Amino acid sequence: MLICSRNWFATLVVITFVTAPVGAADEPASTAAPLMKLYQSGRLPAERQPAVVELICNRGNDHDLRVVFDKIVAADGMPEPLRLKAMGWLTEAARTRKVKPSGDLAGLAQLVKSKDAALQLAAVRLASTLSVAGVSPDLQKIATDPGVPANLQQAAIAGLVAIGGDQNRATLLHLASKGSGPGVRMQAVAAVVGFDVPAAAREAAAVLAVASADDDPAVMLNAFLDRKEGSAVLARALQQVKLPVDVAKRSLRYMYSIGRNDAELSAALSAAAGVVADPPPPTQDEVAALVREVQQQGDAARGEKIFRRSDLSCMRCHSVSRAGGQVGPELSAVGGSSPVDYVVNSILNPNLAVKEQFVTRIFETVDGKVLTGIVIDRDESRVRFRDAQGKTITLATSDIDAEAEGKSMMPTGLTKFLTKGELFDLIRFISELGKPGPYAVQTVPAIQRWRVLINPPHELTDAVPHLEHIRQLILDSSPEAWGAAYGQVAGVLPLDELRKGNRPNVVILRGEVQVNEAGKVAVKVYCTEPAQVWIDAEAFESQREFEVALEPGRHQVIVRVEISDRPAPQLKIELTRPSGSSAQFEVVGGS
Amino acid sequence: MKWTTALCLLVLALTTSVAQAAGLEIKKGDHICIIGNTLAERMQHVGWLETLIYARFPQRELVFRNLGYSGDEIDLNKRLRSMDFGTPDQWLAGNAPVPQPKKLSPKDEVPANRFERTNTKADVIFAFFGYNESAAGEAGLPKFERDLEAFVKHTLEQKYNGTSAPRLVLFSPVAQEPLDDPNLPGKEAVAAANAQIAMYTAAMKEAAAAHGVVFVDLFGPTSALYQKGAGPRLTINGIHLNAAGDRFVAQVIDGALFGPRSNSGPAADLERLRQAVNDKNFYWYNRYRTTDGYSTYGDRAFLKFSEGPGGYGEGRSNYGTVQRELEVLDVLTANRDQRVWAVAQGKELKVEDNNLPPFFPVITNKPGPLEGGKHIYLDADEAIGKMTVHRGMQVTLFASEKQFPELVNPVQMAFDTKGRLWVAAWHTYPHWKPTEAMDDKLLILEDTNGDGKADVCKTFAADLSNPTGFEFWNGGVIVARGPDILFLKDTDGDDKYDVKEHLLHGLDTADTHHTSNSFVLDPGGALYFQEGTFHHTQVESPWGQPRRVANGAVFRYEPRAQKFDVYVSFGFANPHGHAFDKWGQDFVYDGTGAQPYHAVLFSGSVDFPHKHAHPPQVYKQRTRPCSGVEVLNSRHFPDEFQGNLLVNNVIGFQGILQYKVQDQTSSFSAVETEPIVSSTDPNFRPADVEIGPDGAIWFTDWNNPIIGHMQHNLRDPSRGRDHGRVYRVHHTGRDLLKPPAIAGEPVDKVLELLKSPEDRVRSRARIELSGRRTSEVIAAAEKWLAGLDVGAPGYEHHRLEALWLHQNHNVVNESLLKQVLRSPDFHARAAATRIVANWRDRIGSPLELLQAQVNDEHPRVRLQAVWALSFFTGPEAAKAGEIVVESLVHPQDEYLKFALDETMKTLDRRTKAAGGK
Repeated sequence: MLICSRNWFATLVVITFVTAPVGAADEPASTAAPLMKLYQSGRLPAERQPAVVELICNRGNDHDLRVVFDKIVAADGMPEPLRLKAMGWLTEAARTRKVKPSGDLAGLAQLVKSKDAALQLAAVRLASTLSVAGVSPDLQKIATDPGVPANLQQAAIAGLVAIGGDQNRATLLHLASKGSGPGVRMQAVAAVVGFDVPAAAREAAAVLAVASADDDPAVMLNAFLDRKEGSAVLARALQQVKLPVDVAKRSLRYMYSIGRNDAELSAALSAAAGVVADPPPPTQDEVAALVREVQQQGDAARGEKIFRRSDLSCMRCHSVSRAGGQVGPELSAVGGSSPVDYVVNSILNPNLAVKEQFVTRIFETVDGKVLTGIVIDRDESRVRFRDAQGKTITLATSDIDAEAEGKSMMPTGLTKFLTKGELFDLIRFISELGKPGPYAVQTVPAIQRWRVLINPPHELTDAVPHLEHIRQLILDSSPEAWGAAYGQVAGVLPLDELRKGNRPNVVILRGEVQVNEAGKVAVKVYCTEPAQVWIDAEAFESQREFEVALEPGRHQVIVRVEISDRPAPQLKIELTRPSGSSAQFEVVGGS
Repeated sequence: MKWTTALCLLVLALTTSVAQAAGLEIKKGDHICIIGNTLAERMQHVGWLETLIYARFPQRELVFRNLGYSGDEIDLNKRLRSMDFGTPDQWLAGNAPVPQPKKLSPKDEVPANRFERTNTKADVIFAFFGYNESAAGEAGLPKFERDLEAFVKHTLEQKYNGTSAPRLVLFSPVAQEPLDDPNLPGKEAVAAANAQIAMYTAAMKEAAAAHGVVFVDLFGPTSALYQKGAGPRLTINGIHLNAAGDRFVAQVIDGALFGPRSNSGPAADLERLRQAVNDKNFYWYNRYRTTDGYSTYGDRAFLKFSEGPGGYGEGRSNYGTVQRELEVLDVLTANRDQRVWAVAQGKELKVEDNNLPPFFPVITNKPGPLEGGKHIYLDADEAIGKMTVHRGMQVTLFASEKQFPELVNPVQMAFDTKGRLWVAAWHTYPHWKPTEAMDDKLLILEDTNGDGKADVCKTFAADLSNPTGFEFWNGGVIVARGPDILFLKDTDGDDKYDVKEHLLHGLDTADTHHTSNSFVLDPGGALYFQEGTFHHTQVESPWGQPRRVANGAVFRYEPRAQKFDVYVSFGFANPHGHAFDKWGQDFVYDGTGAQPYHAVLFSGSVDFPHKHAHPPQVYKQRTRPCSGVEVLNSRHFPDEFQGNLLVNNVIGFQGILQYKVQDQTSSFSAVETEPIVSSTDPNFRPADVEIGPDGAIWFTDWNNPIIGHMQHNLRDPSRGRDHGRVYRVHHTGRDLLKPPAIAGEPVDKVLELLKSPEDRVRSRARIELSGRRTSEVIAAAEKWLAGLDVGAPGYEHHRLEALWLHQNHNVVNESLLKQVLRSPDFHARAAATRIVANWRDRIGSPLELLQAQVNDEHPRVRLQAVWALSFFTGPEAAKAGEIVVESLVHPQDEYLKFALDETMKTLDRRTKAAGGK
């Protein structure tokens, strides 16, 4: 008996009788020719078109991309969702492969004016990357309009840089100095770095001088840090102004948190923040002394609290019990294999020895940027690497001017914000990870990675909500509505870290379980506070121990907690397989 | 040995046409360096060339240094080496600086010239190139001529000995030997290869004449001999000389360079001399090709460690420690030069080795709590008390170092067809230290009275080095001995090997942690092993251009056909773990991070130096690192365990993790379930795991307080060298399985075992059959297949087993393949799709077959077909590119998308390269 799909042979026939690929006869055949054949056969089922269009964008030459481009700008060339995606793919092709649709691209202007927000954003991004000069007036308008959404404004600013020209640059400079608030000014300064670093540095100093610690300087600082000598120019400009202490501290911490410690900028910001300059790496004797002090005075429980402090950013990069950032090594077992002085050196002198999977590369690009990360993979056309923020960056090979081995991405300056005692505690904690005892590798799975609803609506906080609200306001909410919180090594989530001073102080938390084989799962809830639990849309309310039958797939464990004023409010949820259950599941971790 | 005389006569006959000596002058004290490809490298293991020349010039006190290197070509870009191995010029001149002098510790005492005592300083260079280059055929000839010209000019401009240009001798490749073996390249292929070699030989002769350089034609005499067809076999595979071939070629060279022999001594003297030469070469080989190069002279050589408790510090560096060992090897070699001279002069010299520079002592950076910094080791039985075992299971001790002191550092294990446990014991870990015994072993542990404990330990091989992996085949065992792969066989039944062949050369050993490991056979009989980053490997085979790869790979080797290929080229950190499931789908683990990958995603063909992109993982690991994996298939355990992945983990969580695997559209996903075992003993390091003939889970415990290569000096005395255990885990509520009789059973009985649900039983049955006559096995298999009940459960798998057996014996059965390609079971269809790629050069229309598979209703089959289409080259690459996009007509998932992208990249590159010509 042959069980093959009934229509596969029909498909073969279809493919055999298709039109010739477009493109001049004297040019080398496009590597996407078979894909173009398939696409233009007109008989590809609608639901298969996106995959083919994506591949054409990923592989095609300028003529192939023109075919896609024409369909994008034609009124009924593509279904809407595909049009949106195809614009993104063309943007990527231009950015990472340096291939643009052939011919005149002015047809994009109408989409830049679109009333559909998503379409307009995609069009602005595409027009910017393709440097469609005709859209400059539109971009200037968007960039200077305080009423448009921030991401559209950013895209327009990026477009003005890419298209260039006196007028666009003047708009950016104006925006950098006279923009409607520190947020947009910083965006504009970041753009100005692309063509006039000294002017950008002056404006950066000016905006930082009037910013508050609530303004996130990351985008602007990145622009300087990503540019050769950029941080030094910024440092010099900063010396001409007086920065608020908190703004200087935030900037300094940010730079350290992404594994950078540029000497001049560090010195300028440290001076403004009133913290000491960077000490040299410890000598062997100093390491030995520290190890002794850690053993005598270090307290692991206090150290865990320090490790979790957001201003130190440890968990932005490192995970413990699988919860936390994915940039640096997972630390659950580190103390079990590494003596204390390794831990000391890893924190204070991280470049001493770097394990093979954390070796970084520095890429200098043709337009003067300097980017660092851990290479994921590469081929002749592009390299992909993970940067210090865990982001995957794709860089066209033709954009790389020079490349070298880089340093560790572990920050070196953050410990300046610690007292000696705090440093001992932190090292002690890390050294205990994976050793038998309270910080051993966990054997009973508990929810470690939590999502916290950032602004819970009153329907959820006022009283125990009914299921419809759980569905609408939690299960159907967007991922951006949630922040991250991580359990401690032993699985306990310290709820005091989530207190916001509200009365009543209600937080909505969500953990995830991946079930691969259906069956019963036993749930144990330990909570010092009144709490209600739902698994997906099934209410268990205040039950503390129950079993639930789960089908394969991703499941949500939802908890509503009213945090009291007690000193150490805690939550821990363990999931186990009851005997006789066929369930196979895994608690979802990550960042 | 009658043929020896016959060969001598042949040499005379074949070389008389060029009887005049080529006029190479040999002066007293000349240093002769041999460079080139595997032909050159293998000479040091047999030794006839050196022996004949020493014998001819007994008073001249010559110094031979073999710098041959598998896969080398005359083009310097085709001589891959790990970091700071030393350039060819540095080696020939015996002069190389410390690679990173600024990173040395103040305590390091090292010579400015790290090759100071190598005694290379070439006066004479014997260059053996051209074979690998000849695979490029006529199209590659102009490049070869340019490279040759540049090489000769460059060489003659050097003064490697410090005073004069070297006397260069160019040697042509030997002819490829036509062998009466259906598994090796056939007559036509060999004739075509020889036509190419002849072309390259002519080019070499011309270049030599143009520069007044001595040229020795090895192609002519070997080719003439093969055409006569009367002589003994000279090669192991058509291109690499066996002992007879080494002697024949040595005689040809000796005659060509120096004319007919008048004074050739009696054979017995030559043999004694050859032993002396080979003894010298043993030390030289271990010097030139020292293992752990990345920690000896590469980047990790410059890690410095604390002396006393701590980590890194200001104590001696690795370089400062092991560079001295290399100097010791230089002196050991030089001492043996003198013995060679004495023997050549008919005298004897006892080598005293009392002039060796002293080793530098290393102080541990991780002393134990006992007196003298000794570490606490739990007794093997006592250690069971520290283990947490899966509910309903129990751990028992099978063997330990207490009973068998040779059972130390057990790195891999496997059961033979007699049901006996073999263990590779890596006593010299992390690598051999000169002056100590090179005594890594393959042990056989037997339980003769059935009490579940080993009572006999036999030493099958006692002279190994870095036995990082092994697998049984054809009545013997294939074992890693980086940079080589050996075949060892016991022919007289005393359980000690008496046959040793070098099968493969050029597997890098830059970091012995990353060296050829995790040996595993696929159901089709191909052998796989893996290596990690830092490594740069070049391997030759009789099937065309050498295979090269840098920084991480899984290899595939067909021992019967001697085909070698890079199976996965991927930027691994350090792969450790490879297992096949019941249907031939395989999982590869990057050990350092314990990332699991479904191999089909990144084992499609890519051409060096390209590597695969990062594929999606099978699951997100919670802990690391992984040292070995196994698929659990054993009726001793309840149904819910079948097909689970067992994953060893050695830091933090020290034990064996268990993962439940399930289909995830075209690929797999897995979730963790209760671990099999874990221990709180900090020394507990489960290194290898395998299902035993009794159905229990067996594992070895490396049992060592420190395991990192990087975190301690290579010679840290705390690296344990005295412990090793084998445990097994059984289910307390169920009976163990009765091990089936396999060894020596009639073929039809063994065939019945291919119906066993146990993967390891079927695997051992195939191993047993690998040693039986192909004609007998295939005839019996056809009969067995015809007798199977078509309607019975398991039929589709049994039929696939019959197909796999054909593959094991390298017998193409196209009609059976076509049947399985359209099996009602998608698992079988996917497995057969894989075989289409393996047999693509020997079946009618592989692309048509794959066109059907790429349109299969099951995504797994489509995925396998997308993979298979990556292997097509030449004009077929474009055709494969047209077919592979048809997979897009069907539902996609992230795996199909990834694999399609990878295949298209490879095919595009080939199409572009063809268009560019």
